[in-house]
Amino acid sequence: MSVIRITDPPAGPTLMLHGQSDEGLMALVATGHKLAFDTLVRRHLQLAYGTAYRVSGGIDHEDIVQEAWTKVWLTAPSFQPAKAKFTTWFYRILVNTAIDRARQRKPSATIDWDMLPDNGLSPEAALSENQQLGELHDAVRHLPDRQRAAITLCYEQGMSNKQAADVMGMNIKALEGLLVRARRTLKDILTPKQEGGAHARQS
Amino acid sequence: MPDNHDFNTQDPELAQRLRRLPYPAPPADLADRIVQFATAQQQQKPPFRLGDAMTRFFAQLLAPLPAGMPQKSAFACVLVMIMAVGSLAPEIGTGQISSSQTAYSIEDDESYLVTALAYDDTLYELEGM
Repeated sequence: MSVIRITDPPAGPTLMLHGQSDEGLMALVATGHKLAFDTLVRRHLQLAYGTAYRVSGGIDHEDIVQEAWTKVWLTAPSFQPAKAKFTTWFYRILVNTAIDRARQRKPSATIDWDMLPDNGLSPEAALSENQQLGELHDAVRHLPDRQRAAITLCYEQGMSNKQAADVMGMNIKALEGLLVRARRTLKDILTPKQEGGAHARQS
Repeated sequence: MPDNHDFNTQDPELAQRLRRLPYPAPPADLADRIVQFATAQQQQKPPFRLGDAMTRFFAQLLAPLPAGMPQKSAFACVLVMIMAVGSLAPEIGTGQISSSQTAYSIEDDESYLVTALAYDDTLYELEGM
């Protein structure tokens, strides 16, 4: 009888791992397969990092990402693909970790102007554009934790309301309520500033 | 990135502006640090769940049954297989099995002859009639 051993293979089979689904990789991670875990981390790092940054309000987002991935590694044997997609399960861990961290400390990060893309506008137009983005960034940062999380998941991750509701452990109606309140709050914060800004630019 | 129609149709202008918000890029060595830190921890063993264990057990039993078999017949077959395994168990591994055990399950006008034969200690064959 042949015995199949699952071990960390050399570099060659890495390409095969890249073709695996998230759930397939998780099945390997549950057996202690470090290379599968590495593949999974790299596949989702960019979006996970951005989500942690936004939901936490810019607080310790690097630590949050590391903590969430450590939880993934530790609890991988408990992951049940029949109950939830990997992304739903993972983002639930990430968002909860980020919200917990944000509750411990007030959001403090201001926008890093170096992050702003070069959009090819004239210096004057770029300044106006960046000012608006900075105001929006601050407004999102000051939303209540769960509203900020809902906005981030639905906008940044492009999740459907159903998936975002699953991630946040609530029903769709509750999530839609959060989104409505978040949008209202953002408009309340932004409208006077931008109208003022428009008047200032016109005068 | 897929569009979130739910969100965009509610407030497309705000969605578009939110989409332009910049994000910091993760440090180049972050993935390495995460993997190194996380995998240094001991993985937890999965909690034992009776329901899951029973589901896996019956899934393995049902796997060789013909597709499309009525549910009651399938259930009867499983019962027969359990009985067969129970009665054959003492002989399994001794190489003394020479006969098959049969049972009938009747569902409406259909009947299934279930023949449980032991091959290599574990394999059972079913024949629908």
